Amino acid sequence: MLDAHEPTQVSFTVNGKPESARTTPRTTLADFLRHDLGLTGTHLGCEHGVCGACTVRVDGTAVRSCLTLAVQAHGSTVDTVEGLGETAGAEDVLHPLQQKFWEHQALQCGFCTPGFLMAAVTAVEENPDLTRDEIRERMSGNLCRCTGYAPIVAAIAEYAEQVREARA
Amino acid sequence: MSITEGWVGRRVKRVEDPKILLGRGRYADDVTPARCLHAAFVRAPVAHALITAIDVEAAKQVPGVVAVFTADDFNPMCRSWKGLLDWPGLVGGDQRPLATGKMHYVGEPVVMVVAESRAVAEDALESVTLDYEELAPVVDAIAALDASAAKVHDELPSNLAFEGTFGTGDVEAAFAEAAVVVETGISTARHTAVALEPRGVVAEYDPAAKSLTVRLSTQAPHMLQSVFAELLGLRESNIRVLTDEVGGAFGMKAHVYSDEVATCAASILLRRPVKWIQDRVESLQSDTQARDERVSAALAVAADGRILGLRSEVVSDGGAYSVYPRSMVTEGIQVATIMPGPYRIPVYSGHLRVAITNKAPLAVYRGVGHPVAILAMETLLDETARRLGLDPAELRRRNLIAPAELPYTSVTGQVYDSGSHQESLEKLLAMLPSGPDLDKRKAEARERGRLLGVGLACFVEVTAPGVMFYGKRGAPITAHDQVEVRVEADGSVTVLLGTPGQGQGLQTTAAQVVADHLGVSFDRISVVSGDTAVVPHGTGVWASRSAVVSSGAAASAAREVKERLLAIAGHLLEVDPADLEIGDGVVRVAGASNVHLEVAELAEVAHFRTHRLPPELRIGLSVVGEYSGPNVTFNNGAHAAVVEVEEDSGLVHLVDYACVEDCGVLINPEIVDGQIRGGVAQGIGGALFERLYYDESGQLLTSTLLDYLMPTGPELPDVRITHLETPSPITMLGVKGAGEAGAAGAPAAVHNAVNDALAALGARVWHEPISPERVVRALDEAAGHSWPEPPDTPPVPALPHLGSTVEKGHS
Amino acid sequence: MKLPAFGYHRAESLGDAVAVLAEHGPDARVLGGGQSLFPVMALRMSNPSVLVDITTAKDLQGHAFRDTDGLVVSAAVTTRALETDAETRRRHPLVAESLAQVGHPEIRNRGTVCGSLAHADPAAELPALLLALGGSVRVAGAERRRRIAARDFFLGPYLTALNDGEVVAGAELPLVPATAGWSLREITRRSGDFALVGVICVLDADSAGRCTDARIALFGIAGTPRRATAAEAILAGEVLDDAVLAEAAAHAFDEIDVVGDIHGSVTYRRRVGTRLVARSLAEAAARSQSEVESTRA
Repeated sequence: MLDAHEPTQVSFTVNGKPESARTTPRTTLADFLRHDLGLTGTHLGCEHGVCGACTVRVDGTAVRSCLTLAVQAHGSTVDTVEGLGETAGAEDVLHPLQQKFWEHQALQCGFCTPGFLMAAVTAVEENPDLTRDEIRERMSGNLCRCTGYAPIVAAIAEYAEQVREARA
Repeated sequence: MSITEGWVGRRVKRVEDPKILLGRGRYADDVTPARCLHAAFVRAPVAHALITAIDVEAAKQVPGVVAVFTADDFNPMCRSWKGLLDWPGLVGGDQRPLATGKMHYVGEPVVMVVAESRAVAEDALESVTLDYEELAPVVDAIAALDASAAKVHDELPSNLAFEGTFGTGDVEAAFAEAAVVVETGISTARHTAVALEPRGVVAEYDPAAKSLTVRLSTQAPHMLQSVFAELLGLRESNIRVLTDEVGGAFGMKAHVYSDEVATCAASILLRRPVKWIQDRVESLQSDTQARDERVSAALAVAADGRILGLRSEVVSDGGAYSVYPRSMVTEGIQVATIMPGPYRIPVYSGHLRVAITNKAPLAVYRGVGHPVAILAMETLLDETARRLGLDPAELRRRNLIAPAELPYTSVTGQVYDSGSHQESLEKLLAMLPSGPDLDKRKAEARERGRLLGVGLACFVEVTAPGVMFYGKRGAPITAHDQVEVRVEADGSVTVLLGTPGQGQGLQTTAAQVVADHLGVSFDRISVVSGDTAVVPHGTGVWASRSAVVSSGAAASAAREVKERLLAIAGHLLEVDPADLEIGDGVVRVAGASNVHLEVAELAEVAHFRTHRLPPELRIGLSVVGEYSGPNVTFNNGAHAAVVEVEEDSGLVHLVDYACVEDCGVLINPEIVDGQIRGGVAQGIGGALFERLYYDESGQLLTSTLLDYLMPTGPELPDVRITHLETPSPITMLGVKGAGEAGAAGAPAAVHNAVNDALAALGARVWHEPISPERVVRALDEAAGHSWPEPPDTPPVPALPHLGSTVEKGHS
Repeated sequence: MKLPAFGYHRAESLGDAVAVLAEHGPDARVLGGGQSLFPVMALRMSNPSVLVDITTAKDLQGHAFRDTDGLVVSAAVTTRALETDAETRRRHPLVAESLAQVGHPEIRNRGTVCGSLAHADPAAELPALLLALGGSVRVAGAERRRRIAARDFFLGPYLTALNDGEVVAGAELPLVPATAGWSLREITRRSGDFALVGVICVLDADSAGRCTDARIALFGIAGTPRRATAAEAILAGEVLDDAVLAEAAAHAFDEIDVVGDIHGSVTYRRRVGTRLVARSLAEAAARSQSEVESTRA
């Protein structure tokens, strides 16, 4: 039993690196990533599981980090938007899906973008054969207020095509 | 040089995006200073009540709580405020950081708890005891205007914030002579922007310097610099406002908010950084709201469809306070004044009343009045076309302003400087199914249990308004922008942008404009914005102005830096600067391409080798450019929606959406497309889904995103966009604003499409959002089946007597 | 909107969970996927002192097809795990289709089947599914274990027959006979929303085409999912022709006090629900008969 007010050590692998900090049970994975680990790329748009901005991957599965406790993720592998691209010296290289988002201007204010990226990378990994209509449906748990979604769908569709070609 | 060559006009990828994509954007909640405290608010649980007692002692004892504030703590150090533009008769109630004496709407901040964490602050909210005596809630905007209504603000004579009549001409005569008069009564629901990033503030007061640094999610940082100084009694030069990334704003973040001022005040009193990040419930309760208008309108037409006159009666539900400094009346006034739109309307009378009610304040939101005005006009036109047996496009064609009539002064005094009003419609019609093809599609849909409809909407939109809009009316809002362009010693270019963006790509468009007007490559330019201590003044993003005004300022600065570069080059090359030209970072002698100097070489000389230059030469390669923009420039466009209405369920499916937009010269068509698509999405949201639902007691029933319905991907169509580029003759770059046109046109296009579908069965809907319930009920009632429930249709205001020829478009 | 403070226990087993719940009394709550519980807590509408997390309990993992009870789903099984399970899709497609309607994939990745049943949202699919299938929940408490039939389990909005300290340890979802047809239909404003009105029906017929079993569960229309008993009675023993199906649909809402809200009034839900049931019955009947025919062939 973890005490409500006594911080406990939470450790997991984030973006391939071990991370650890002390926190109480009520801290969500989102707040833990953002405020205890300084990984502020994961965003909170509603804190009640509707907007999808906080989507991260836990053990490869896309989940709402606002509806997951940090203590529940203890011992897991967590992937966030910060880990998508690759580091090359002083430069960060965009992940192919990030590149497609850039090319299609699939973001404006960018607040929803990390959630879309993490959900979409998972969706395409699970099924690269998604059609555009299926992508719209599959991404319907992520809200965007700026783009009208069409460029997001286009970016994901082209990324899925790349994944299909790579697998073929 | 033609401005449509070079970097302007290209679909350049945005410079803002890589860091955001990599998760390295910096939004308000992404920065937490050392020793930062966290705030939460007790908010009004009821719409209208006297505060009889507040007990904060128990909350103060909660471990981790540092302070608990009420109005008594902040009022001595902070002036009250209200948005009173210089409109005759406009009144409003005083607003303060925390509710003082009375609570005026559900969600109004009453008590502020500051603690070591947000969670602890929220825990302590439950220990605050708030005693109150409920008063009669003022909820319905029309009932609010009744003499017997309870008053929202005791110090005001009534709940009427503003009343005005707009338009000119002998309307009575026009209606008397009309072959047909058609009247409709419509309403739009109360909306809110739902920027994905909620509002938020990190305030850091330095008592030694008496300076306040505020990082916040706003679209008007310089305005807030002025306002925080004014309200908190600080020197404006000691206030620094930081906005790196802002996660959407849409007009909603252009205001002074109680909770944000309170956060600043708490930091001053506590001498520590204080952070308040809004949660979504707070957002739906307390962000400014919009679109809550009821409109009755009547059109007088001749037998040939020529419009003879228009009249309208508008009631706008302004909510509890007149938002500072933009006021509660801007939306209502735009509904009344924009209604004549792109049509030749000889006489018009629009009567507006803005009511004060116990709801969160109403203010500007993308489109500001246009969506409602256009909805009123375009539904009226479709109803008139049905009445006359005319094709809706043909009725519009007969009344749209012709090119030869431009510039055109509308019946409400708006000057349309240029445009393509008729051409836009024709181009749009070419994108749509028609004739036998359309009939076939309607028949096919019917077999699937669906009614197919096509709806049109033509419009003009106010963009880039000047100082007449706010400054002349007394508000602390500038209308001009400044941009600094600086060539660094290595020849790279820094652009300091006075007006930051919230996703519009302003850094990218500024770089494109500077590239062309300075003569360097886009890739050599870095753009900085979001720190009032660093950048020159900008008024912020509002009213589709930045592409016009900020770009003008950027061009102005770039041109002057170019002159200085050429003067230096002229000296070094010993030629007349007038014989030099610059492009892609190289200065050449015209007609002698082998004689040239790189901008980098000139920059090196101007910085380090100034001994090679004569003393009278201006060597500073840094210039602040400014541009005030026009009084206003109008864009125009035409939208069409194709919908299928499920007869069984009343669900509306958008199967196609096409639009023609004329925003003048396009700086970056990809960015403009994005603005249009996003605006259309919000417009469709309003037409079909979005509704802040206040019950009869003034309680808000839609305070989560499970109940306030924004469109998701599957609900939205791909938007097909055609651009026309009629340059504005009155703006520096020929640019017109583009940010709001999508939101302006979409509700009417969708609404007309639904009514086109329903008209096949003799039904119509008049109120937005067009919920499945409203559709099914309209179909049932058209078929003679009445429903037991009272109709879900707000009352509309009565139009003055129109004579005996009235054909009512609504029941 | 931060969660209130609570103690947290990651249960090793069902017995461990039940023991800890008993120790902490009524303020302790079971934590399944948390996809409904956490929002309610964040809104400070629920303030448990202890959460007992059963998602990693060793004996609450997995699902199995049993001859007697059908598909038995343990408490820790996530909605999406079962939805994407190949055997479930093949042997119990109605379950797979129902699961796919729950919220969005990221919610289903953590939300559990049993958690949704225990949450008892009247507009949710899974309680209606349990009712339509005539299924049960397996309940464990400190004192005893029991099985509660669907018809006895859902008592009101977010209210079940669970006592303090009891855990839904599993759900039994009886299979649909090979001869039967089924249908799931719902009206939602947006993709993934809770239903304004929804129906799950299962129709079985004998070789002569006469209805031997009709189960119609409605959801989104009252405080709990409800069986359309009047409609079921009309179908019993009848040949499932268009007239009978239409007659049944017309009586689907008899004796049900439909509840409206801001998204749809009582009349809307009845009007549209009746049509929805008609289409759903037609679909189930067609599937039933095609099953019969394919069995004959």
